[in-house]
Amino acid sequence: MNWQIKSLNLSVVAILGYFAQWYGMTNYHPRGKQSHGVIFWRQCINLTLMVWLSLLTTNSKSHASNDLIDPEVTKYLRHYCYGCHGENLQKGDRRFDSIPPRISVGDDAIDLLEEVLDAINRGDMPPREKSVVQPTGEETRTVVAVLTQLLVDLNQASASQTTVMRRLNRFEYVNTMRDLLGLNREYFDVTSDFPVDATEHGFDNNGEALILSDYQLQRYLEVAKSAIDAATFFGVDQPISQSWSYRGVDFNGVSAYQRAPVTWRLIVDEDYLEIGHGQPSERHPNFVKSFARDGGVPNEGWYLITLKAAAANRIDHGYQHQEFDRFTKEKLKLALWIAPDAALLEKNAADQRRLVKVWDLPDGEPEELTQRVWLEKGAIPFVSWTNGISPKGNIRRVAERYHPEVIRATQTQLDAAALGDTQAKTLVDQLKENEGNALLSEVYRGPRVRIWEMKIEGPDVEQWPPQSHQILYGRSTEEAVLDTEQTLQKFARRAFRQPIEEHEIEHYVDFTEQRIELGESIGEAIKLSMAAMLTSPRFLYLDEGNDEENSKLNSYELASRLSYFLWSSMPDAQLVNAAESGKLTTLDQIESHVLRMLNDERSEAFVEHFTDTWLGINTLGSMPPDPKAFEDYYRNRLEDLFKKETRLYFSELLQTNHSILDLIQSDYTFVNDTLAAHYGIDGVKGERFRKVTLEPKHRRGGLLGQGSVLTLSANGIETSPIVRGVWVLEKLLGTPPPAPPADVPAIEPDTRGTTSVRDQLAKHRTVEACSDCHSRIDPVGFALEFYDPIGAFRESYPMRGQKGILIDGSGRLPSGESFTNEGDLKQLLIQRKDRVTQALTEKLMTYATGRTMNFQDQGEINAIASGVAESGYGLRDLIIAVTKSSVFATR
Amino acid sequence: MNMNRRTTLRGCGGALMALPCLDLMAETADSEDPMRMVCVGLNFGLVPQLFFPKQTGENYELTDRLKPLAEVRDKFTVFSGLDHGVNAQGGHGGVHAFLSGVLSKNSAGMPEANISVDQKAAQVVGSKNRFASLQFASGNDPNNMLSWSASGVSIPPISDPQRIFSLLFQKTDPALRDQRQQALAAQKSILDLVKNDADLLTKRVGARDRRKLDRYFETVRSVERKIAKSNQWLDKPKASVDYQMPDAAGGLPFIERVPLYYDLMELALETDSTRILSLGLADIGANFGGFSISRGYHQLTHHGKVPEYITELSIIEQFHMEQLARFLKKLASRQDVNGLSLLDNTMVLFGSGMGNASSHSNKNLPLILAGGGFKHGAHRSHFKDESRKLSTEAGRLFVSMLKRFNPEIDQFGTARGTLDGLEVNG
Repeated sequence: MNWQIKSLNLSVVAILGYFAQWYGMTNYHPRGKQSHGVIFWRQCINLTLMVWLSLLTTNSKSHASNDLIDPEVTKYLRHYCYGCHGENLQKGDRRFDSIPPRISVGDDAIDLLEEVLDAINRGDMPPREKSVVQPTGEETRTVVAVLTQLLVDLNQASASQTTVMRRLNRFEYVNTMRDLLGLNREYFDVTSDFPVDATEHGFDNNGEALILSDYQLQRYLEVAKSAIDAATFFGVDQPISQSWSYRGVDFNGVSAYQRAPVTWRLIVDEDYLEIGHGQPSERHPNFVKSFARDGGVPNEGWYLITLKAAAANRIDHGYQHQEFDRFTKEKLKLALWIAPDAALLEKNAADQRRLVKVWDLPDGEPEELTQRVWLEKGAIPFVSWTNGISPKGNIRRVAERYHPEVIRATQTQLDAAALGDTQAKTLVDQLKENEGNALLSEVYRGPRVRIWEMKIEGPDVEQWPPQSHQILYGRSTEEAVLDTEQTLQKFARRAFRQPIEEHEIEHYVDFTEQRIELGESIGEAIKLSMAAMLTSPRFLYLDEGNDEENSKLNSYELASRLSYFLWSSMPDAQLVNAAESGKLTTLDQIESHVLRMLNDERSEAFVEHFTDTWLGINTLGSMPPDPKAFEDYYRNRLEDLFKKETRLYFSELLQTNHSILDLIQSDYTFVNDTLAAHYGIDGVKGERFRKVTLEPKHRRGGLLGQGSVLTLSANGIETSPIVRGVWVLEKLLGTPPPAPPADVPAIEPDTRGTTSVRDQLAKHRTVEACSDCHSRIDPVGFALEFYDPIGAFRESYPMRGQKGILIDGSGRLPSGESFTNEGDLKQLLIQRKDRVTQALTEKLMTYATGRTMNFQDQGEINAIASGVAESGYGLRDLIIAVTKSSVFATR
Repeated sequence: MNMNRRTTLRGCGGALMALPCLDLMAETADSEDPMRMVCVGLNFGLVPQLFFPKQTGENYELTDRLKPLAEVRDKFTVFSGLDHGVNAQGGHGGVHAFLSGVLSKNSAGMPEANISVDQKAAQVVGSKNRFASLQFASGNDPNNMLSWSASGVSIPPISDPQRIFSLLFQKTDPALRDQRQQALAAQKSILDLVKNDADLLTKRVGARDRRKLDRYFETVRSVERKIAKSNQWLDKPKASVDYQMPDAAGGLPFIERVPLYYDLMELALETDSTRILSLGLADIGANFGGFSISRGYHQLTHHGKVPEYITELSIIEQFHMEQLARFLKKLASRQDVNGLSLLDNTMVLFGSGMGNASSHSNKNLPLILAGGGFKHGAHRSHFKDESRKLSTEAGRLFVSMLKRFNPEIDQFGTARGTLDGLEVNG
């Protein structure tokens, strides 16, 4: 270990102390090696440990490896530890004088050194007793740094460079089942109650980390059978297409003028349904009563839904109320939802309802709105006013101001009066005068959504039996004609993603035939065998051959690697055919498949899942924004819009081979009207997402301007420069800082005064132990303080309802460059474009192979990165280069 | 050299070490002593200043938070100075280690991963009852998963009180039972079949892959045991109780749902449907859970010492304590088979993996242990060094608890040995 590296590492120790509270958000701590699973702090250090220290000053990674224990450590142990853990005394059965001067992978002494490091980090050792000689802070820091580095190196040296048989994760399982069985994924998500997959640096396809539990296996068993049942249509006749037509009166509204409108879902003149408000969580669906009572659609399939609807009183209502302001800029929006069964129409049962379409409503005259949807058997479509005003007292407040004569006492007021509350009694008496007056529903003229008609037609049968059945059994729905062996052979080949020898499925064939002999129908017996195959390790795990014999992937294994990388699913027939005929061998052949695959809509799986797991977009919702302080988040469905923006953005780079540096900074993004309003971008009308050009005044551009990233890097209540700083270091630069040392006392924020986060952090950065790391983390986060916990731009902190301290987004990087805001910071990041490219390359390789990259892979990673840099940083180029690398072609 | 924890793991093949055989373990427990365990976990902790008593020992003064428990003062112990140290640090991301002392991401090298104390106890007594254990939660909060299996996965809790009630007490329709029996038989034959595939792969792959397949085999065996057990209980009728579950209980506000969870836990224990329960109290849901507060629970925990916020937060926290008190009193009033009260035979652990939400600290966890035949009535501080706030491993409390189930257990997670001063009633 040379001195330069060691001196850098001194700062490893100098990790923050005092404000573990800022770390308190989920997903901050980088996920480290899990081989020992005990020491919190060391685990959190990964390959990039030594690099991040030089972050923002250098552009490439280095690696150091040495098995000589630094004499400093031995000296330290001798002076401060041997007394109790040496030749004469072995307190706690620990003896350190027997640790050899050189150490290598697998030595028992490694465990001992880990314990030493733990104990020093915790501050437990040496014990602070009068009789024990105490080391200086400097000495302790040095030893911790050196030991940490040594253990990281040893860990690296023992890390495997090949993949391990890996279980399909939830996402891959759903996609694979969909493609294997020809099911429609729109509703086929059976994994919601599967245990959460373990992750490694955010990626949930790491073979080492993915484990199998008995809960998981039980669910596989249950799901396999029901999925096969859903795909099979033996003895079922082609369903007859039907048409249901309903009018407003058929909805679950109340007749207007009959009683005070509690629900504000009115049926007017038996003509149309009026929806008077939205609900943040769509708690109360608007649906056709009889359709729900009759159990929804009788057959699954594609249906055409037609609605005749319009908006009323969007602008000309004459009311002044904050809730109505948005309609001067945007249309009233109608959403179409699917409740998979009637029980999910119950208030609050929102979890499994699907939002399928949002329309901008025309003002005045109704128009026909149509949407083709997949409905499972029993599903019921319903609608909501998706940007509707919140009913929480708002309508009553309008009424009190503009129609005081219609106000009646509320139940609460009546109750209070009955209990003898004099104030309430006076009020109730006063309001009695209004009893004879008109009802609010008769006089209210606020914005409303009107529905005249709803038509449901289908199923639209394109083929019979359905695709799923044909894939599994061919065109006949007669089970008697099936050849058991052939059917199972064909299925096994696809399910196991490999050519299958006869003897390999003999047990399935025998089993099926036995059951048939015992009287079970051929279809049932085959289905059970197929369900078994879907529980087999050959289906559930990606098998990449015997790594002890040959680590190069064969063409079938390569086909699977490609398809799980770009589609998160099984290879299609073209890939398998290519593998079979030896046409998936040359780099050109691979490239042409990659291009074909990226152009296929299945590559949306890559866009979605890679951004989800790389950037942590899938953690949105785990620390939900406060429903009161950030009502907009729910009312405007911001979470969905944020995700959509990020996916469209990444997809644009992928499809047009745009520069990956656009991830850092660009002058465009994708928004619809609601998101544009959130970002302060004018002139965007309608629900449809479109690419817009950003101006400097918008303060957006790149991932760091997107609501998704800014929300997931806050905790739903407040922002933290530390969490955001760490996010940038880890995700964009690939250099996560080490975790804070153990047992640093947390400081409790005090917001009674007028201190800003910045001041509090500055104070703590003066603590020597914290300063080194935090001088790298905090500045990056300061530049992003201009965005609140849901990514809205702000110039000052909120101060209990008032305007608080102005945001100061300035900072200075350890390398000396200063900046004043997020725009400057992005420029500085662009200057580190090599590092950014290497980091993304490494993330892609990790995702593509399902294993953690280690230092032996760095050479190829850097070569790919510089190749892509030369050709203009295109994302598509980068992905092609990854698939053509030797790392990709081997286990 | 000492055979330390890590060498032990390595020697046994780390996570691949076989689970203890459940049936054997069960026989070692005393069948005359129906010991039970209930663990209740809050996601945001409790405001420390309002929870921890200032004095230690038996004559401590009840703090605001503890006042609702005054009536059962001699039935519980309140602890300070216990936490999981660095092993469960991570703010909200550390809360899920409340009952294990191990973060899920660090579980891979442990012989039983990040198994939680309730699941460890279920290994001992679980096989005797219809349900080895049950997990409830007021909402689905990924940060507040309490129960973790020996394979390192969180066991999904049930949130709908109606579903819990059906599971425990609704009689099974005979036709459905036949169907269920057939399904179980089919699952059993599927597992027989797929073992062939695993065998075939085992012969073909390298050593690292073989370890994955070993795990697969183990899991298959574990599911086979579960299927056998389910079959066995299918024929036995569920317990009958006289309890009126409100309509659409799943949609009730938090403030009305929480008492139902406690009621159901009491009924599950009383009918001996299970001996091990956990309850996660997290998300208060829509409309502020029915509390008269003006901000979200999480927001309030970020009180920044502003008095009005702490006052509102106290409304929720006091509710938690009142509900606990109600539960403990109910358990104390029921007599169990061995003549003791149900509370004497049920250890109730109440607390949180969050020490102080305002600073996101996972240290000095708020912890109460009630019942279970321990000597109670005191506040016990376990700070090793008060001035440096050096705490003791909370896992030692879990070892003390587990010892009542199996005297041979003397370590749990990363903790060894029992907690000093916590004695069992003679």
